[in-house]
Amino acid sequence: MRYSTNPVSNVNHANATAGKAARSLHAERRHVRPTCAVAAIAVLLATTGCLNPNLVNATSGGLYPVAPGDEPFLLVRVINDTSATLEEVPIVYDNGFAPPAFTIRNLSPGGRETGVLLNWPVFQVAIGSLADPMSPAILAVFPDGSTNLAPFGRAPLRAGIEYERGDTIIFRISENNVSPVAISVSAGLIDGDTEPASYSRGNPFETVRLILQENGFVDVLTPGQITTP
Amino acid sequence: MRDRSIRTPGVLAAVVAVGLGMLTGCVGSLNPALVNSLGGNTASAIDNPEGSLLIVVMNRTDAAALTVLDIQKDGGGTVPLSLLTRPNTVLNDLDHVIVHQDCDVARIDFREIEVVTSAGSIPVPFALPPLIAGTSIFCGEVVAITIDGAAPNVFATVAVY
Repeated sequence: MRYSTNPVSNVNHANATAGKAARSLHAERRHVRPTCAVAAIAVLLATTGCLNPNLVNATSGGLYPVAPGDEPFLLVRVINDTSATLEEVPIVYDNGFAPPAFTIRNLSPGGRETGVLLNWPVFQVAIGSLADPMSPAILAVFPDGSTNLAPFGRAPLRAGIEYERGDTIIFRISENNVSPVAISVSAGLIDGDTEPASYSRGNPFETVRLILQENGFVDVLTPGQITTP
Repeated sequence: MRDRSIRTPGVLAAVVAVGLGMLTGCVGSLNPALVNSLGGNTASAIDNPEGSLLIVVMNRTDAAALTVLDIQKDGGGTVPLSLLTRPNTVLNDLDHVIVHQDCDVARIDFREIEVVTSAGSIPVPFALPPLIAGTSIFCGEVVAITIDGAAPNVFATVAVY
């Protein structure tokens, strides 16, 4: 009996040990699996750019401003979404003096984006000409060597109507197969009023205003008066 | 008794994914800075910018100044900038210029600075190393270039704020 019991007892003891080990392993797996899943998701998010602060800002905002907001500027950005190099994109604007221009040169598809921050007030802004929207303005050189001169193709944008102080205007230049000059201009706006009151990583528009102020460029601080036509 | 279903990896992973997505902005519906279209053209393909990096050139001399920079982007492309500023005056605001870049800048190389006088162009001596994104410059900052002095004794300083 003892012999018959002991083996059983031994077997039972072995089974109990194995069962405990199995339960322990199972419990450990239950804890490890979620940890691995969370780690995998974190790695996935990090590698796909979701934890990139620039992308975060582009999608949810709050880190850096994308429009001047309360600051006395108008931001004009140009995006090259063509296969051509934009040899000349003359941004023309009216600020009450002789119409000045800021010409963007050699904006390649790789360079893609640049812009100019204009002191407020800016009464009108366009590409090429404030008087003639159909005048050839944008000089584009395509990879095959062909060149095109494209007009802005629309009336100048006006303060108080299409934009306000603190906004961002985006001119996107893209290829257009139905256009005789192969490219066309789309305009977009980021309303400065939609910008948050503060940013977790600084506000370059506020910084640049303070820099100008400290260096004696006080004219930028002169508040502009815009009369809506 | 605790609900064991929430402890399953799939559910937990989903909850974490949504939570992280909301925290990091990967959910597009949380975007407060929608880009609106102006006029009849579609703006659906216009990207929301990632952020702003500003370069300001301030000319405090009585001569026009030319500042030449190269902005190298993350994608390998380059934006060459030739920034002309008029002589310092209170009569207009062309004595300074502010350039905007999206935050996909990899580095900024300073090529040359010169002032233009009636006697010709005078190069402004400077020795500036390139500004490298993530090391010497970050998204949301301002690169301030100040050109000062009286020709021919003109100098340039660069600071990052």
